[in-house]
Amino acid sequence: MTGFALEVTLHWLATGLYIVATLLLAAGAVFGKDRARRLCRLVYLAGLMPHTAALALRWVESGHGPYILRYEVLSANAYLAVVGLLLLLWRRPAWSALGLFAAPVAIVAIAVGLFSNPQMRELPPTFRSVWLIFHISFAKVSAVSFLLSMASSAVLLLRQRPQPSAWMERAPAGPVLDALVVRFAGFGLIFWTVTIAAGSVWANQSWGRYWGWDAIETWSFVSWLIYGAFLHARLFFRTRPSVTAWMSIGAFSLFVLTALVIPIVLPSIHSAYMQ
Amino acid sequence: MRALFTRLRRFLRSPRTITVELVGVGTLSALTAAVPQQGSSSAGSFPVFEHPTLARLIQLLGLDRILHGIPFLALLLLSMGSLLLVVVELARRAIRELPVPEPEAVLRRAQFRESFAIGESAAKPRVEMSGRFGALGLPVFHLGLLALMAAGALRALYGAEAGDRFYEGERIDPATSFSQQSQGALARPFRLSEPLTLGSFRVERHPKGGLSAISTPVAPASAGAERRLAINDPLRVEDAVLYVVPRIGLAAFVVFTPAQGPERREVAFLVPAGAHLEADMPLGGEAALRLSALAGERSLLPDSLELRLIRGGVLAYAGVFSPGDSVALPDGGRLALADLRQWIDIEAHRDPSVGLAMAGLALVILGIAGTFLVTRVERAVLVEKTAQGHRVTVALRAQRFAPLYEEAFKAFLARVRAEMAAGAEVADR
Ligand code: HEM
Repeated sequence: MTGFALEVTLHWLATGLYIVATLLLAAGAVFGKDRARRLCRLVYLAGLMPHTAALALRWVESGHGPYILRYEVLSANAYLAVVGLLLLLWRRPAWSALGLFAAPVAIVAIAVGLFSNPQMRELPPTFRSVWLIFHISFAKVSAVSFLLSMASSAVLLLRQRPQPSAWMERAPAGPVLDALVVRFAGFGLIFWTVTIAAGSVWANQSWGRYWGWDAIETWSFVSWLIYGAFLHARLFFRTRPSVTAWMSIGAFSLFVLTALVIPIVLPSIHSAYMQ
Repeated sequence: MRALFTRLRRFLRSPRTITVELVGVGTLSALTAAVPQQGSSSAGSFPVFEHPTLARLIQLLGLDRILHGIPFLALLLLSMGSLLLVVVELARRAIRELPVPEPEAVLRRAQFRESFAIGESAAKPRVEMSGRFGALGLPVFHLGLLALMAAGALRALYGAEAGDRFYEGERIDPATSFSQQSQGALARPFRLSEPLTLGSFRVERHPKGGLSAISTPVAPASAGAERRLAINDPLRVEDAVLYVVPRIGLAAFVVFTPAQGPERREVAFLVPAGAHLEADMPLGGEAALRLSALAGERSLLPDSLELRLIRGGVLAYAGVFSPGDSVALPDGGRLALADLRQWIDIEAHRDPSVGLAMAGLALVILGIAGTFLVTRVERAVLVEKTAQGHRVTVALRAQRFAPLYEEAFKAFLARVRAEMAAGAEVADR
């Protein structure tokens, strides 16, 4: 088996385990099966094993971390999302309903990555920078935080329906979910701020300017502003929790557009990334 | 006058104005990276906007020069005004709230409270507070934003940028080099303070040939020590900073002696075009030289190239040249390749705003982290005397995310109960 075939097999194995874990999570959250809820954590952990191996294999073969190709980026982001989810399930089992919305996004991300071009690329010379580490690692962590804010919003919207399903009784209470929407968005904003700031310092070192209105820079700034605007609107206009939840979902959609779609469709000086 | 000022303040501080500022700046910024923009600052754009009708509409609405347009600049100015007011207001509020409050004040604003009765107790009312400095996060963050906007303005007014292509060993002459210039409205053009001479380039490549590093020694004309300039390792020369960008090509030193007329010595910069490196060199009249070389294996630069002399659109001569080759042309002229070297692109700027921008970024990070990672939580214990003994009230107030502090409140309550019980035992004995 070639290195790449092994990588793909490990990825599919991880995806399969994540799907099983998510079904167990659903059984735990929807039907209140405690054993299923406990077991799902172990299955997620088991899924992380082949996923870790696949990422490590790629890292060794390509000589760089997972931050250039869509295949690598999506897989690494999904990996961190599962790690985040697992931490949440361990530390706050009562919030496990969030996983029902976060886990499918991670699973779809790996699958989309697996169907994109895996051809390895050599690192451009500007990537030899310590700022790369901050820029990329914080971007990934912010994606996980924004994902959890979106997941809290989705659960909140389901819970606030006029006749919520019975299983919603087991989800966190409305005010807790409302606080989670904002808290995860706030954490995401911290990490996204560091991402943009590190990118800016790096651009100043590599390209001779800390800001250049490049397509990816601009859309990152816009998604950052939108999260800021959403947090302001909530504070200024005391929006109802359901409105806050919709704003968080809207901001997350724009974030996904910025991080995953814009780099593919718009020409940019960041041409090494995702294309 | 005073009334006008008050109205302006109220307008700038109103939630609606601030929301319009944020959404307005966001929308216009998004448009700069969606619609084709004039000039060098243009970001990417969606091909749909290149349709002639849409393009005309965009031009008519001024959407092709958003960053220099009045709406964008007005929004930035308004935002700076709002930020100034907000920073002062938030800083005052945060400082006012620094001291530990009285237990009664905590109780009044507490999201969680519970009372229980105990017998005799020597316990005293108290307040425990954590995250005292969290409230400073917001003013620090917004001050950082203000610093970033001021830095942007400074750069737009006084910044100067320049770029040029230089061959190995070239002496960079302040008067003639850096032909591509762009500068802020009040800035003078970019100019080096003294001549610099580049040394031999060091080029590193990945196993498959991709560029991985470029560096060059740089020697100042004054007696100063030789320094290094590399990708990601800019070089400061007085108030200027020089950068190498990751592009490299071949510089051909051509000597052309026409049948009549003086000898011409020119340097042609061949640029990558597919698998080739190419350049055109006009020779005056209808004559031109076309230079082309096949990029070597693993993208290494070739050591010979093909020269084609074209006259009136017709090929007059073609031949492969290595450095030192010289050929007599059919019309009696001469063509020689004196040397082949590598070239690199160097960009330079004089940007007085960098320090302020970096300070702004640091403040913004510090502020936003303080805002969401440090939550001010006040825990109070109040003790009242009653007919039967004492009544203890335990209260908790979290400045943010109160519903998430229920467990913390329960833990605090249990601790206070345990303390009171232990205190009561001591009192009994
Ligand atoms: C025009 C510029 C801006 C003005 C005038 C402004 C003003 C304000 C004001 C008045 C508050 C309320 C503070 C309070 O009462 O507690 C606030 C909060 C906040 N602002 Fe801004 N702001 C601006 C830009 C931004 C931007 C660009 C961001 C981030 C992208 C941002 C992020 C925040 C956050 C996270 C909060 C706290 C929200 C919360 O407590 O949930 N602001 N801002």
